[in-house]
Amino acid sequence: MNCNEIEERLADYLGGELGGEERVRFEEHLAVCLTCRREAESLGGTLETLRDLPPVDPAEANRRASVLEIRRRPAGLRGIVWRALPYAACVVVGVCAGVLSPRPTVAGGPTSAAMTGIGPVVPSVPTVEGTAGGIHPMWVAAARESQALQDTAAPIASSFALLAEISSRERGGKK
Amino acid sequence: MSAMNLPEQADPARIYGWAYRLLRHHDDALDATQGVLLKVLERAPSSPERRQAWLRRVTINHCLDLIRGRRPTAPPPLEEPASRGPRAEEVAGSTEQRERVARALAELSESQRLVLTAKVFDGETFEEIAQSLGIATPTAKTHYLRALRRLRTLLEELR
Repeated sequence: MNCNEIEERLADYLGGELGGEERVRFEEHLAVCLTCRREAESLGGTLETLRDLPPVDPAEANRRASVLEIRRRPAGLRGIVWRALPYAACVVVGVCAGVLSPRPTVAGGPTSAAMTGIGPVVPSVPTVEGTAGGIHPMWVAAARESQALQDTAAPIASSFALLAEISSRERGGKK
Repeated sequence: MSAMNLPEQADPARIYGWAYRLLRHHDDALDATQGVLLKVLERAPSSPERRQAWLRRVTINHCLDLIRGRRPTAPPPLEEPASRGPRAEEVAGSTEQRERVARALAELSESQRLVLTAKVFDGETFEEIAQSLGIATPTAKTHYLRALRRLRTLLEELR
């Protein structure tokens, strides 16, 4: 074997994939060629340095990683429904909180039915002296509550989008 | 972290093993595992054949980012107390060596780093590595050799 052939097989040799007759001839060349021997030994030393980062015992890795409470996702439609349930529950709770929260009623002000959207919206907006822009405090409270519900719904909506993307990938992967 | 649903092959124990090999610190390795699992939920490849190589790449890059982000003046974490194992200076020396190797690994190209770590950490054959990365087997061998030579130079420079 010449030095060019040594270079061609060096990766196999260092990677433990050179065997049989080829390995014998490889090592015979190293025994007589100082340049090739030094190169092989030097790179072998670098490999040993890497191997000095010892692996963790698999049982220990399992034990340590178990704190992350991972479970495998169920497949198919059942998996989609199972994953969507917590988010659907949040939406239901949010809507109920918006519907059932008490609304103060004031003569001449917006009715509770109007504010929950069940009945017709009363267009008249009685003003209160000293209020900025003349907006009735009941309308201000309603607007804040609506904003709070929107703030709650936004992450839920993005979670649905993430679920849809994951499901789409699953379907794509099974083709 | 509360319970998550993961695709198959995203084995937390395996990810933890890769992370611990580089970080050598239980809490850091767990943090890294959590970070990688979040990325799995966001954008793991749909193809199972590519998922393994993707996982290794994301884990190693995540750990190397953590190591690069450590302030040079901060003392390295020592997991093994001197009273139970090697002497303190030996432990500190090995920790220093580990960080040197990790920083050198960070300087390799991604292909070189992936091939080298798959060979050394997971004992995969060149053919398996080539298949998982979608490259030819001779190309994987070239990456391996170049990675070793580059690593050798970097370790000399970082002494």
